[in-house]
Amino acid sequence: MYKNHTVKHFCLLIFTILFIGCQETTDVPPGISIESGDIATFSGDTILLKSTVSDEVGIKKITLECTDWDIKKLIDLSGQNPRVFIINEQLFVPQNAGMNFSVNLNIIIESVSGKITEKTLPVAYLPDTNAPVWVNYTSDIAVDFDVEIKSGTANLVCNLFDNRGLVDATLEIPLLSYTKTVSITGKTYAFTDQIGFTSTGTFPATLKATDLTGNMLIRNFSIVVMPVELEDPISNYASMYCIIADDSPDNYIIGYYKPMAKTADYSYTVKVYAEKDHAKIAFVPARSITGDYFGSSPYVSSKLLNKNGYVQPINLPVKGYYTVSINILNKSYTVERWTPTGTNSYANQVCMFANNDIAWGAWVPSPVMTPETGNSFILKGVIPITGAAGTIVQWMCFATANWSMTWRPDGDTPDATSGWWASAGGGKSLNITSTGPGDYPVVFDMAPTIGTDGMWTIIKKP
Amino acid sequence: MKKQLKFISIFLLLCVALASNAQSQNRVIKGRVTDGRNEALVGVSVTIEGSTKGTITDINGIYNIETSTGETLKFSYIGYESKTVKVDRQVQIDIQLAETNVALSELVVVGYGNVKKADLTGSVASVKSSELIKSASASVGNMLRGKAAGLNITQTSAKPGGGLNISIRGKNTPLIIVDGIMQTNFSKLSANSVFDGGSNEARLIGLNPEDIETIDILKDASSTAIYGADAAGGVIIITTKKGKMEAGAKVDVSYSGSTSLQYLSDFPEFLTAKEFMTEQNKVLFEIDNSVGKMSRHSQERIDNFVGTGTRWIDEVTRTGMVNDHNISVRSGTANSQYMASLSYFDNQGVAKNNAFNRVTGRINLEQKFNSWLTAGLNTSYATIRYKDVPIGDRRHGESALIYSAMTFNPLVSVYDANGKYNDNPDRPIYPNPVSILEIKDETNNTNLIANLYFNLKLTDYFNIRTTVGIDDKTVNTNQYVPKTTKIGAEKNGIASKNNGNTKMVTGNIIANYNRIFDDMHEIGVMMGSEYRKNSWEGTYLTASNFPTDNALWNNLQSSEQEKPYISSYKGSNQYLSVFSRINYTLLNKYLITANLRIDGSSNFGSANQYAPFGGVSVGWKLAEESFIKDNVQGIDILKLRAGWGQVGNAGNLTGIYSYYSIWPGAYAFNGQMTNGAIFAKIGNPDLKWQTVTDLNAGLDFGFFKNRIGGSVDVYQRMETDIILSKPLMSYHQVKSIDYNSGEKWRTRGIDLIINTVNISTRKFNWKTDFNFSFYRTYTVARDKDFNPDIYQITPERWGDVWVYKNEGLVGLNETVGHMPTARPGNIKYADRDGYKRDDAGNRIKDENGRYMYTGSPDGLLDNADLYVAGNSTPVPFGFNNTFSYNNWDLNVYVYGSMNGFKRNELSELSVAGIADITYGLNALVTIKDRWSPDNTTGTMPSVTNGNSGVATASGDFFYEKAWFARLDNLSLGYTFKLKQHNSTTLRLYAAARNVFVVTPYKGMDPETGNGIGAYPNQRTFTFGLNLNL
Repeated sequence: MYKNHTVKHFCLLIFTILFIGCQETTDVPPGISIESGDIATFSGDTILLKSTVSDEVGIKKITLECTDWDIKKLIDLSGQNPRVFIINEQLFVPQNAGMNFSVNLNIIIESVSGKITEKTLPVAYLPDTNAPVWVNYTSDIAVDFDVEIKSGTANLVCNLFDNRGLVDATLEIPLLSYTKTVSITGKTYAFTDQIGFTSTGTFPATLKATDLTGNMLIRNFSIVVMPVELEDPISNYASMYCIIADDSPDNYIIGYYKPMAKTADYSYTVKVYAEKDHAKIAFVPARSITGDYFGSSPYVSSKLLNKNGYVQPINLPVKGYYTVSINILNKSYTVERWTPTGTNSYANQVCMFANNDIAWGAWVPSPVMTPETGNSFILKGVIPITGAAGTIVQWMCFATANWSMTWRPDGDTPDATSGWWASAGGGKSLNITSTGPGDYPVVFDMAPTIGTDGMWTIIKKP
Repeated sequence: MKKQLKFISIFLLLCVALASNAQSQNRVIKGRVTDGRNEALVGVSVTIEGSTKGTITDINGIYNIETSTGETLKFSYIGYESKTVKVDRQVQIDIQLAETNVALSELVVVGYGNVKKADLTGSVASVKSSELIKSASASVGNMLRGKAAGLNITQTSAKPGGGLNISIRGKNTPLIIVDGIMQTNFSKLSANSVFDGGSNEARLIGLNPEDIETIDILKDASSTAIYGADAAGGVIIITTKKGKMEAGAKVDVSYSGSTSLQYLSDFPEFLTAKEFMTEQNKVLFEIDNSVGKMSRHSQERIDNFVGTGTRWIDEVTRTGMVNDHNISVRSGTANSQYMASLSYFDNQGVAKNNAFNRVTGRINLEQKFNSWLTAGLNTSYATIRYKDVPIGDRRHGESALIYSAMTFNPLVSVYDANGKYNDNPDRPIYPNPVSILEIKDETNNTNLIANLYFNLKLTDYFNIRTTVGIDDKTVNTNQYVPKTTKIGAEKNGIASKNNGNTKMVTGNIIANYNRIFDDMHEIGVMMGSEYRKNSWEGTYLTASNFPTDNALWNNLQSSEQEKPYISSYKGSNQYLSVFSRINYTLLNKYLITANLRIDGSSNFGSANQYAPFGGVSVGWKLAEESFIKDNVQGIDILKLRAGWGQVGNAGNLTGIYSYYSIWPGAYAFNGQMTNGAIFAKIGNPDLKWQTVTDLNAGLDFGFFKNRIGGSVDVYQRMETDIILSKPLMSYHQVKSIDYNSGEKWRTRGIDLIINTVNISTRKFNWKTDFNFSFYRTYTVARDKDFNPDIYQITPERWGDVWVYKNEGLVGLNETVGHMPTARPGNIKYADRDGYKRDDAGNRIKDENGRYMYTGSPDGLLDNADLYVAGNSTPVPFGFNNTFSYNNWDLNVYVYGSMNGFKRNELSELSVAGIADITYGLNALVTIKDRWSPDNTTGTMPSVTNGNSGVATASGDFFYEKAWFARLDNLSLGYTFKLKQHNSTTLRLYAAARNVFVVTPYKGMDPETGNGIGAYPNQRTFTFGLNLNL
């Protein structure tokens, strides 16, 4: 009834359509490159192996092997068979690996198609050229002296570290004819002692430490013995703010009080940006500079005290970012340089928006904010407020000119909360009360990482 | 004896004669039935009138039937005029049947009634269900693309069930009528939803395409005036299939089913991992040109890399699949008819986790109770489910799937060794594309369309019909962003649950009078009244901070968010209308139709609440005139038409009403944000209807037994009293008010349809349908308050793209005075002209209030330098070819637009944003041709172009011509006749959809590739069958 060849043609059509688009793929062994370079290490060390593995049809498994050290690690990728894989593995060098060793680490990659690439990575002994480190070193240590009983005691805690191992440590205080030597095993050691003083004064001291290879640490410091510095009562404050101590809050609309994160009882931390060399900071538990006020002792710079009008602001030596941590119970603080990673992709895109009484208001964007030279995370601009004093500029926020990204404060008032975060539609914009017509300088800090705490805004009065 | 012999002889003769007579009364007649070309017709029904006896012709057109003298044989065949022959003494009756002139007898639905196509005077296009290409298409809208001149449908999203933009002669949002009931749109609930899943088809998606009998498109106001307000955008009238009201009607059971496979098509080429590393190193160097800067990737890493790296688009996409199944039953009796259908359509999209699913059911019933009363019920119900994925142009926390997959770093795998999502090592804030697939989305729609009607036939000429109907659409949108995603982790899980309902209730009563007087005056009068209420309501809930991801959006009360987002709304408007239509035909040659409708809307004040809209059209059947009929051969149809009409539009603004609204967080009392009430809208009591006035002239033609047919229409549309929003002075709390603008818009265009039967033999047939539309809209008058910029001329053509003209790239040691911040390799724009200024340097205006050109460059790049780079108005066309050879059929369908002009945003993203490669974002391969100090012949802008001071969107560099022709369907089928001489057929077919696109546009797709991260279009292969029992 039906002609066979027509049915055949129909089947041929279906077959042709089904198999259109099939392509041949070439199959070569997987590729590998080692990012971690030649490896030199020592007994008990950790090797970080970083490598890029690639294959067009997919990687089935990766084996890391070192027979001398009995290391064999399998990374099974058969569930995902990626075309590229970054090996980021920590391998432990045995404690008994000894010295002057030379072994091979083999990396074997097998592709889905069964092709194998093997890479041998020589691992050599790394000679020790580093001296031990005094981890919590400070140049001066304060000791409270009781003038009535003419006595003071230094509770010394010197934390030492060496990556290969410590042998001994010696503390010398020449004016007291004090010398103490201890023998040590292991990589860390806390040198502790209680040393009594019967008079006030500055006592130079030296701490020495030696490691297994004979590298020696020699650190000089001072023990400052002085009458007790009385500070105002403190409490375990719920909040703490880092302030710009060499400027007045009266110059600011927002941004003078930067909230610190409470990391433990009496402990707070914050990332701050020093706009200039030798910027000064201090700490207050409320948004006021007339109450409790924390700074450093005028006599011992490492000592943190709560004494408004007595304490000195803490110095940030050069322009840039810092991580600042304080413990008001221990009267201590640390200031460490911090560098944001990457660059700011929004550096030339961010505008300000507001709703009224402003030259570019009613949701017309401001001119693009200008990145600071050398730090694209800091964007600067001005708000040309036209309204008289008391006028409220409503719904201030930041965004790219096309609104693809928006930044609003994550709270009712931005300097009372965790900062700024990126959002297309969330957050709460803020009201600004005019102090009179003029250009209000704005600094928008997009470091450390967009989308997390740390973004910060300063709006100053004209 | 002799007498006896004579008597016997007479008796015998009489017996023989009687016997012979008896034999002649019941004899077998045979014959051959042929068509006009003398080709045999197979399966012609040959019946004896008044009896149940009958047969059909065989493969050679031969029939045999036992009949008697005096009986009447009836020969009938679908597509041919029936013929009757009275049986006399013939023993063979050969018959030649003439083909039915379908074009003349077809009925066209024109609003509250039908008219013969031959008697149409307005501009109406008709599409039959059989002309729609249904394979792998969810919406009737998709199927209508390129099918009717003047109807332009573009797909705004290529996702399953994706959005369509439907326009008639350039006007969007036509009124849609299904079985006489106006339709509402499906809502797209996105307010405060966590992400956007792309646009959904909102207008026709609830209909099963297999249920549709015909689609009629009313284009000019003389036709649409009967629908008054809301018909300004034209009208699409959909009529669904019915049963058969005839005694002993056969039960027709139809099944159609198909399975389709979908593959990504025309996806852009991005850098492979090796290229990515090379270009990233180069860009890092080019950005600050610092010699000796450390490369991010060592040459050893680049050299040892094998393959392309992670192809992220492969990780988030798959082979899509469509399953489409429909079954319907149609039959009836002498007094009743019924049609019932069920359909199932499932499309698993090419993006993983993305799906569209629809189930529909329909029952159409009609009962004739007696000679004067008939009642009917048409009902359909659809449930639609979308599973969407984030679509759009975002790449950060709320990143969209395709955008993210296109740009994510190819140097990392999806997962690390512990099975956790890898981050982009250069910028961890960008979410891993595969992690975006963990976002859950479900949108459930339902749609009930029902209408009940009663038809009272009071006389042979007069009847009254009353109809009540409802279109009820609900939508429920649920989304959950788990903590495993970047944004979900930030907010500790985000859930949203939105519900909405729109409802249109319609009731009308219509009286019809139709009569022919003296065989020369044919008159039809229709009068009616209609009430319509449109209502809507909904709720939005969004919350975050959930203890677990497991409950998705089903346990919102477990949110620990301090103030979850809650919102709700409700509203309605009502219309009351009276309308009438008069048709008059003289001598079947001269036609006139008049429509009138008076609409009232609650959107306007009492002075302007009611407005009349009407239209008049005339027709002249030239082919019926004796001076043509008698003198010119081969003209079957030749009809001139002309019409004028006016329709209104109530606008989509809130019009006359002033109101206050709640503004969350409007005030801060003691530092606490507090909700407030604001004066949100000032009403305008003088607001009146927006008016559209059409003039249309057309010619319908059919030549050589309609082997060549078609129509051509030219038209002009004027829009006045346009409802716009006017800005108020800045001291007002409310910044704008709705008003009738002094602007006037004029559209002129032409629609052309040509249908040809190129070859027609018994074995081989070839038909071609072509349609084409061209229109241009101008703003021909401005409002008195309009303050034009220098380039805003009047009349102003719509769709013109005003941009700076590029002059290539800034050369190596070149500086450009009018672009002071431009650096070598940046796009250089022409300083073409300048503003004329007074001595103080102020721009001066002419007497019409327009700034004036100097006629020469002025050293500044500003609006005086803009020029028209192109026009984006489409020129749609459709070109359909159908071939058949014996039982084989082949369809080749091309549609497209002969004009298009759009910005290639994908290229713009990659090329102008090439600096982003330093953040680990991948780019198009074209960035390799960028200008750099080492490649001064590069044609793409350098890495510093972003600092040139001119946004790329302001110039013509990334604009491209975007005309296109898409081979939309290539299908081959074979029909098996399962029973000889029976209508039981089985058709098997294979089809390829979106086979290729011819276009100069280099973006993803000239039609659907809007934005950067658009849902990719697909190439579809379908295998299916149609079974008719």
